[in-house]
Amino acid sequence: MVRDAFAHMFRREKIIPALVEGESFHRYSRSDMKQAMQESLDAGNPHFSHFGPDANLFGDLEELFESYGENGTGKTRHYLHNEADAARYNSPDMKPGEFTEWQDLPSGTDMLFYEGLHGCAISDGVNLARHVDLKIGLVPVINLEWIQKIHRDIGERGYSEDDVVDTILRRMHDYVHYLIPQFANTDINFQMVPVVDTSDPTFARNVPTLDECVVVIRFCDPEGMEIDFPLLLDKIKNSKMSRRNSIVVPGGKLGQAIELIMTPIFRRLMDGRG
Amino acid sequence: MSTKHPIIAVTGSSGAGTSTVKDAFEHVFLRESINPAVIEGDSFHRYNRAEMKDAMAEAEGLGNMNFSHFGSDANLFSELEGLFKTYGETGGGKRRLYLHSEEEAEPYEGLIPGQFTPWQDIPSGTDLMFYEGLHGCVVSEEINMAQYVDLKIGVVPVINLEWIQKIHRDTSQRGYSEEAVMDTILRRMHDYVHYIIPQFKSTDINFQRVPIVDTSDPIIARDIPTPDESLVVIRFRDPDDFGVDFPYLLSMLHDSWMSRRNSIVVPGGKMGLAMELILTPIIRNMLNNKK
Repeated sequence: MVRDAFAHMFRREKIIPALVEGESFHRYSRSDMKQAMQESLDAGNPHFSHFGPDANLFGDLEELFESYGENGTGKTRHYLHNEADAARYNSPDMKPGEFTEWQDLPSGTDMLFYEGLHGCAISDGVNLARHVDLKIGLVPVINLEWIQKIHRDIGERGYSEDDVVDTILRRMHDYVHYLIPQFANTDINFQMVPVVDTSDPTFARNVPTLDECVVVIRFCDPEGMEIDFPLLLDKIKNSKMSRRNSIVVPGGKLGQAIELIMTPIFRRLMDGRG
Repeated sequence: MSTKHPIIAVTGSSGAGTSTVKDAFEHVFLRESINPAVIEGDSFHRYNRAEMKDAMAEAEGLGNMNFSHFGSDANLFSELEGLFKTYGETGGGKRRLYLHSEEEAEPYEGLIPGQFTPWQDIPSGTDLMFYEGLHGCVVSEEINMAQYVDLKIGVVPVINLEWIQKIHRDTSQRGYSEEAVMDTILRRMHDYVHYIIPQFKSTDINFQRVPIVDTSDPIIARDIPTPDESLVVIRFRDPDDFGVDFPYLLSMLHDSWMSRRNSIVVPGGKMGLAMELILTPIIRNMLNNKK
């Protein structure tokens, strides 16, 4: 729904985005990652994960952000999730879990749109956040995040519950040190919050539906962003303010809220280019 | 399970709203003239404060980075299970107190805060047992507390809120650094997942506090979300079991709504009222069955 909402806006506002996926900047292919994880385990590091700097090319991502900001160019690649991706990116000789070659971004794009885990990361000599003009956090409460992961990994990938819980615990260190701090830096956070019981995330039979959630939307600087709260409250049914900079909307209204909030902000970003 | 000597266990971490729960139960006990045998979870810690420090250092020395008050090594699970069993059978059993502060230690000569009082018999003639702590419903390979408990209540915030509360308490009241608190949270995570969380699937009623302000970075959240800034999700394992009257609750609790067939959501400030409305008939029923 989030991806759709942004796609709708790009189309309506005639914005041509250069899309960059976070996974393109993983350091390792699927098989190399397995090996790297085993090696780090053997070396006594039980916390190696896709959440942390060791498994990602933060430096290359920063370079991309910097060069795009300066002259609208830069290099990216695609991670091939499956056979369909391999076909889509004309890489029939490559296997799922591998990357395409690095390629120049298409020319003539209006903005770079990054979607991934590390768009605002600050760590070890890297500062991605400073290059980003609009930082959006999209994050469920931790209980919901676990439920979603457990369901996906058990239901679609055939892992056992114990395996998934081990993975969650293994990644927790990086989650706390590299993912969470980003949300202190974002301009807008959208946080999905279930209103059904999630006190044992390993047991929840169903992933809470959108109707069983509310979304907390927090603006770092509502005045600076010219956020029109009365308009949002009026247009989004059953929404309410929970703090001076925060509005709560029913889960099913997430897409509508994103479009209402982001359209004027995108317009200003585009106007600012002159 | 015991009709004659029923046991109520409130399971949840401190600060999770357990004081609201405690107040609600105290009100019900007072109004219904119930004399409870109160058991505090931390009286079943295995170690006193000084011993715990040593035990943790020792565990770390042995390469166990997950030693914590959440797990089996630091608690007297089988003693607590034994107490539940004995109380259910006879209405008796042994308990002690953990002395949190100077004030609590004052009446006990020779004891200092962080120590336990000697084990003592529970006074005779109590109407029910009321346990409040972290482990009232633990079920593991060796232990099964849940089987002896007649009313199992979980009180638990979403994880983001639990972290915010802990970070605030430990940095502002106990002088720890954010980093030190975060390390503690991570150290306890293994036991949290393996001992604390699984209890909430066997509870009869869960009260889960859910903030409706941004908690995506629990570490920098400046203020603990107030009751007005949260909702409480109340889930009944089997609403028919307790004869839960949802239409009644919906009409008594302003701005409440059903989110699933067995779940009702109430504004955070209504948590105490919701508890009293829900618990009074259940406890009354318990006492009637005794007679």
